[in-house]
Order: sequence, then C-alpha cells, then structure tokens
Amino acid sequence: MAKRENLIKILAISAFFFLWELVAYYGYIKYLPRLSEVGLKLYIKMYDKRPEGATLPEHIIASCQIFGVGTFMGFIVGFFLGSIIGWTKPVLYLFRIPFEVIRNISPIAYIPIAIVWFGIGTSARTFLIFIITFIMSFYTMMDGMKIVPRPLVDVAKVFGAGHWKVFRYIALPVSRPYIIAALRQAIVSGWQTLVAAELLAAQIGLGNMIIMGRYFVDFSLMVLGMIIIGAIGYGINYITVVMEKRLLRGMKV
Amino acid sequence: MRLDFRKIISLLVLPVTGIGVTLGVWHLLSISVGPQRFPPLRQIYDKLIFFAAMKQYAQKNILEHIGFSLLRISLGLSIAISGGIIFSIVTYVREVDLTIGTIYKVLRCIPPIAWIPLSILWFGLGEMSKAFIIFWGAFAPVYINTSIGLTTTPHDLVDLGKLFSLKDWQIFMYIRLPAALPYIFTGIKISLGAAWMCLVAAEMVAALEGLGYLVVASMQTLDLSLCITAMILMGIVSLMLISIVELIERRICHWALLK
Repeated sequence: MAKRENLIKILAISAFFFLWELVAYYGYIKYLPRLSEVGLKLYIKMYDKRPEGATLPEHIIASCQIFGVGTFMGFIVGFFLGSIIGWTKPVLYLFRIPFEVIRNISPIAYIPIAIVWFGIGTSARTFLIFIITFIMSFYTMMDGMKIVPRPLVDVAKVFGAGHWKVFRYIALPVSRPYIIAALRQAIVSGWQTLVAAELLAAQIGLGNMIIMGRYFVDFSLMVLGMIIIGAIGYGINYITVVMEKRLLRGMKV
Repeated sequence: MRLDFRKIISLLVLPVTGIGVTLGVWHLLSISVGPQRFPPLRQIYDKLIFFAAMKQYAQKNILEHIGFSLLRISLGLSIAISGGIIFSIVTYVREVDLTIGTIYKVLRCIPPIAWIPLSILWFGLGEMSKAFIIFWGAFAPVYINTSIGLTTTPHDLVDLGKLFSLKDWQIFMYIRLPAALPYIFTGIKISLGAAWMCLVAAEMVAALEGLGYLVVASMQTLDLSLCITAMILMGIVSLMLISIVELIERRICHWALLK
C-alpha cells in the first residue's frame, strides 16, 4: 500500500514538472523559465562566475557559513537564557511588557540595526541571524518552562532538591519537545531572514543570486536560486526531524 | 473590597519597573556607546510625537503608514486563511492529498521571501505582489494546523456520530470540522506572525508606504531612531492583532479553552 502511494507521489511530482515545462514553453505564464533552462543553468553555474560574480558552490558556502555560525551561537545563548529566565519567575514578571513587544516584532526589521552596528559585511549578517535565532529559541524555551508539571516539581522538592537541581533534573528533561521546537523555530526563521538580508544588502549568497537574476533579466538564474534555497531549507528541516525522533524517543508528545 | 497587595505588585509595580529598567539600560547604552548606535530615548520619543502629527515620510503620517500595513495584512491573510481551510478540507480526501498535496509540499520548501522577485515580475509593484507574499507565508500554518485538526478528531466523537448513523459527509461537516476549530485558531495565530514577517520583507523591497517602508527609509538614512520607532509600533500593532484573534477564539471555541 505504501509502495503504491509513493508511486502516486512520484507520478504527481513528475506530472507537475512536465506541466511546468509545457506552460513555460508555450509562455502561458510570463517570465517563467523552462525547467530544462533551469537545469542547464545549474550545470553552467557550477563553474561559470557570470553574470553576478560567483559560482553556485561559492554562493551556497557563503550562505551556509553565515547561517551555521549565527544559528549555532544564537540557539545556544537563547536556549540557556530562555530556560533560566523562564525558570526564575520574578525576572519574567519584571520584563513581561518589553518581552511581549519584542516578541511580536518582525525579524526582518532588525536588518537596519545590524547594518548600522556592523556595516554591510559578513559580520552584520551573522549578527542578524544570531539575534533572530536567539529571540526565537529564547521565547520557545521560556514557554517550555511554563508546562513543567507541578506534581513532579513538588515531589522533587519533598525529597529535598533545590531550585537549580529541580531545573537541571526535571524542568530541562521535561521540556525536551520545546528544545526541539526552539531549534526548529530558530532554523526556519534564521534561514528566511538570511535570504531577506541577502536580498537587501549583500555581495554574495543565494538571496543575492536571486536578486541579481532579476537585475540581469536572467529568470532561470532566479528560479535556480529559489530552488536551491528551498532544497537547503528542506535539508536542514529534515535534520531536525531526525533529531526529534532521536531525542524524543519513548516520549509521548 | 480588600486590597490585594500581592496582586497589585505583580500586575502593576513589577511591569512598570520592568519598563523603567529597560529604558534606563537603553539610556545608559546610548550615553556610553554613542547616539549613533543606540539613539537616545528623547530622540525616539520626539520622532514618535512629531511623526504622529507631521507627514514627514512619503507625505504620510504614522496612522496612514500603519493603515497601509494593516490593509495589506488583511488582504493577504484573508485569502490565506480561507484558502488554507478550503485546501485542507479538499486534501482530506486521500487521493487529492497524494497528488496536489504532494506538489504543494514540494513548493512549500521555497520560503516566501525567496518569491519576492518573481512575484514582483508576475504581479507588478502594486498590492497584488505583496498580497501574494503574505499569502504564501500565512497559508502554510493555517493549512497544516487545520489538516492536523481534521485528522486527529477524538475517536469517541466520531464513533458517536456513527452510532447515530450519520453519513460520512455529515460526520465531516458536523463533527470533524467543528472539532478542528481550536487548531484553526492556532494556525491563524501562527500565520499572523508569519504575515508580519512577509509584509515587512515585501514592503522593504518595493513600497512607498507602510511600516516596512519606514524600516527601509531608516536603513537608507542610517537613522536608527526611526527604525526603532517603527519596530515598537510594529510590536504593539501585532500584539493588538493577536489579542483580537484571541478574543474571537474565546468567543467561538471557549469549550476548547476550558480543558
């Protein structure tokens, strides 16, 4: 049964690609490059720097470097700060209103701040990704600390555990689903924001490749960039799904 | 009525001190690091007040900018919410899910922001391209949450329907769909956040009004006080939107919140 479903899925996707080729060939949708053109572009861009000055592997490495460093640091800092502040209630109550306002600010609005503080180089984008992943994981961990069951904490306290011991041995393990959720939130919004930052201010990177495709009226370059961004995003997301299965083994979510 | 001091402290005194501390830290930073990187509070306040009355940026005052942003959000979000619900009902049929649903899942990998250049080419610089970006960002949360809600209806409810010999479409219409309401609201709340993100991105790339335009204007003039004003307004407005959705949620599916 599952085999048949997979067959249908593959058929559907190939039918979609065939339709795309057909529609683009006859020009029913404006500016849509043919699939074969995009494939050819992928082959050419592997070694050709034209027109925007970098090959595809260079773009991918530039984007992934910034994304990796920024997300890693942001997640670590956000995870620790978020869980500690979520656990120690007074700080939470004290900064409730600023926290609520900051939480609702669109991550992309941080781009000018990053530019004013760090210029338009790599460090600005790394800082941007850092701050966005930090905010996302910070708030998710703070929420995670709210669902720690009261009875477990009470039992631990009856047996003489202190505030931090309860945090380490009960609150953190119980909020494992939230750790994964924090990681996912951080990764998804970090990747999206990186694309936005590269669209607006960058010399290299996948988002820059898309916008350059538009400026040079090279639509196959643009669509190729979109596909690569989607594929990498899917790949990173897939890693978190695998990690989720590992980490939440034997846990009802 | 007896005054409850603990309640007063936790509801009034602590948050007010929190705001005070935040502003104080910001003030210290602006003194020590410099007004270029941390614009002084006075400047932000001036901007906010001045801005409310004067039509400084793009001949529009603050309310008009907020209004434009809200209009765009409501256009994109209403298409996304209705489309997401309809699409999840359609893909409840297994065969449709296997074909059209799979194609959508492949397309969904491309983030909304990567669609901006193509959508500008397709729909022009006007409102349609922004609506498309917001739609693309807000559609997925509604669709995914609704379809989860439709498939995870409690078994006893469905069994009860069968016991009363309801037809399949009746079970779907009168049991599965209402039971999915809390999930739909969760999806709407998530998609609201996504819509703001897409809106700002779309306005930053091509717009002459709206909060995202203010952000890009601050980037071009390197005037951080304007950026922070826009960010604070953005946070407050979207906080208000979320509380409106929560109010409606409390009205419509109070039964789910009681649990």
